[in-house]
Amino acid sequence: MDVNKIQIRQEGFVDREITIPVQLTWDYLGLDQSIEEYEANIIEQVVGIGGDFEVDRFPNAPYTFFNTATNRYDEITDLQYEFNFYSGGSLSASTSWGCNYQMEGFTTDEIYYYTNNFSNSFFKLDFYDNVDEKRQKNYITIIIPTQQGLTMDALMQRTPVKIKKPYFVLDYVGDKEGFFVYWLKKRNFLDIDTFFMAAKFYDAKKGYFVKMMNIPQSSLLGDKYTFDNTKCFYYRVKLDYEKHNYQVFNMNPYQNAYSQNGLNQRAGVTVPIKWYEYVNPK
Amino acid sequence: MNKYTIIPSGLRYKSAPAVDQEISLSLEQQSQQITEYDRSQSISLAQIYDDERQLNNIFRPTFKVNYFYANTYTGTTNYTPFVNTLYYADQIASMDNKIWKGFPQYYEFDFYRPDVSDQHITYRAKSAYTYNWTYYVSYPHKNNYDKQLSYTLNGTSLTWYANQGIPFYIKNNVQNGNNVISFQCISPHGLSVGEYVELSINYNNIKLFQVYSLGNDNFGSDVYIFNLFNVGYSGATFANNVTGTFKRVTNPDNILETTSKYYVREHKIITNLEDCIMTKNAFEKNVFPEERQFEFSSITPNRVSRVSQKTSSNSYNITVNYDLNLNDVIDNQKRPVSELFLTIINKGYTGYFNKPNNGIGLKQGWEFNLTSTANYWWDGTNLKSNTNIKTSAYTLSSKTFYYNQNLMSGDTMDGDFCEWNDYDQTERVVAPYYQKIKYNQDVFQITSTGDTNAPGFYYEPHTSMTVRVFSDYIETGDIQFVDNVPAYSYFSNSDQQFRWRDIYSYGFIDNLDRGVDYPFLNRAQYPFKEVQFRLIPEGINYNSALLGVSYPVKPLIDGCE
Repeated sequence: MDVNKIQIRQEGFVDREITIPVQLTWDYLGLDQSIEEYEANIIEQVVGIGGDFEVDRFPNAPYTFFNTATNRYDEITDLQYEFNFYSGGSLSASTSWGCNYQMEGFTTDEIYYYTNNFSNSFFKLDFYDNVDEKRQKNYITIIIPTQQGLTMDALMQRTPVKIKKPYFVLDYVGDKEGFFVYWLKKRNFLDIDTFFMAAKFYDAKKGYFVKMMNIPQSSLLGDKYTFDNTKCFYYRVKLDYEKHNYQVFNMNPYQNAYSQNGLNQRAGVTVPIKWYEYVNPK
Repeated sequence: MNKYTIIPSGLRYKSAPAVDQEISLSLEQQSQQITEYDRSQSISLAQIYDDERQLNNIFRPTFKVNYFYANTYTGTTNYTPFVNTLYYADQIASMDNKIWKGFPQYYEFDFYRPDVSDQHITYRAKSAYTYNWTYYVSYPHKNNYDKQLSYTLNGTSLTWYANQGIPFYIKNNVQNGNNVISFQCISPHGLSVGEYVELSINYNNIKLFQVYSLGNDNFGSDVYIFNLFNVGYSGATFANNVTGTFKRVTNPDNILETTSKYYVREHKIITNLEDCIMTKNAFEKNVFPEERQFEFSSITPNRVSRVSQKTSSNSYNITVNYDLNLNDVIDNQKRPVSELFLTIINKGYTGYFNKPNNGIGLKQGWEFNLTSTANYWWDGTNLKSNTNIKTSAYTLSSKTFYYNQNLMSGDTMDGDFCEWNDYDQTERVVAPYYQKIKYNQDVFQITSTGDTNAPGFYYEPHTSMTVRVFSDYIETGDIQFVDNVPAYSYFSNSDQQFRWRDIYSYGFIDNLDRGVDYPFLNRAQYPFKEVQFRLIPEGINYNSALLGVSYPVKPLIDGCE
């Protein structure tokens, strides 16, 4: 006999009980919550998830250096751009490029009096996600107006005057148009922290864009029109989401302005970000 | 119970075999068919938006700050970069005596400091908005009941602890033919007729008295004066010039729970210096003109002509560059935070102000400390009025220039003197908190002789922004329904009930126009507050017309407004 040896004995007239445990699996447990969860899931599929498209302000990262004048570490925040236009001379001569608007064809009067064809001209910095022209996307565009910038001496008729030149020292105050990059605060929609910056100049006098490269063609060895586009047309811009700032780096190994073998050296702080007009083959 | 007996099979009859026995239990099963459309849910975008909004406690506050100040004190200096940049007053006399007198220019006061090339500091554009002032977001996180406060009355100092209530000064009076005892309070008393006061002084061991009326014949005095009916009290208890403190009591039968508590709010800073971004509001200016004058080269110390500017009227915008998550953040009453504060602190990096005593240059006090002339509370030697903000210094041309250090997230500082009533569940600001800056007399002398209590400028560092609103009504809940009672509720022993005020949902405005309806997008609330920040010169908005107690003069508001 395969039963437990349990006997139930009668004890006078006292009632006896057997407790029989019955396991209950409650099918409806959490059903309401499940339905709510399901509902939330369906709603999410139908109307989508609310994204955060708020943009943040990214300034140029401070550059720390030892200031011998004060004998202590100091910090500068400005970002410098130098644009050089081609005057029409020899492609082999570095002097064919110069940092002034006159080389682009503007007269001293036009620059001094901010005539429409000068004041409507501007520099356009495009921030791409990669350097491959076939698949790159332009995510950010920064405009630097010609009304900004340092000045240079010039003669207007016979009168010495100060006119604008395409050399910009951008900072938190003063000339600040183009200093800040406004980009998404959250990274869950577009997770990009490296951009590749290309530059153009819109010449309102002639009505076309002038493409810029990061090295003058005079510095190219051999054929002045054969070079690696991915290295000569861009600077690398690195966003720091933690510190809310960005840095610009040279990515042309032949550009020595930022130190010998200046690849990946920081640009725009002690040495300006240099742009040179690109001359098309005729 | 049923008389069922289980008899083992072996005992049923003689030589009966032992066999297994079974008890069959029948379980009744009920099921319900879910009918189609029974669980269908209509998707309402408005409802989804509201659901998300109500659950969200992420804040991205923006403050618009209108800055009002009066550059009022002329002074002299022998520090060359400052001498050459003053807004001169009385140039002709200065030419004669070679002591150049004038006002520091507007950029020593303004939020934004331009690059003025005054040869004093190496200008850094990044610090343009933080040379003169620094900006933070804070919230009240604790009550300080033991803060020692002081008030100067008729030349003597009245000192008390915050928890003792509000000081008063007695003046016996006659009102409508009745003898009344007038209690002139140093701050708004917050009482209504019929309520009770618990005094620090007693008459035959009685400390609790009912308020008979408010005010005297002067306009606006009802806020500062309450009267007891003088039934013929004898002795010196209620004699003229007696001082003491009182606490508000709303129910004499429940003194323990309905007596107000008094304390100084302690603020916690929740942003760092670089977290708050200030910008100019484009070309917006306030209504006051900007005073400029041309300084002719013939009457300047360095023979250079220039335009100097005494005041500015700029308007500014402050945003915080990261999200403030207020989930689980509780305020000084252990309730969810309902107010954020923009805290503006003087920095004065150029060193015109803030000569320290014991390492502190910035003074603090409350509205009642602002009297018509500077009293001892603000004296440089009075350590009790020191803030907890330390100074740093640098030396140029053998002169030492002091400035206040930056605060950091997590730092704490004092705030308003407040009243809280457990039974009412309401907080009232009794006296706003002020800070005072004074010129460093070693650098810029505004008095003919050295004075540790020289006049200066006052300002209110904390400006409130309401992010949530507590209800106008009080909810009550019995002990057995504790599940539905919020954690911040107050348990009344006398009522055996929990008491609390509900938090209004975002977007709800009640019939008293209370509530918040800020934009909600990007999964964040975007509260906005327009701030009037004033830098107040010594004594300009106070009089002492009311029997020795100085009262701040507020702008008059008539019934239409």
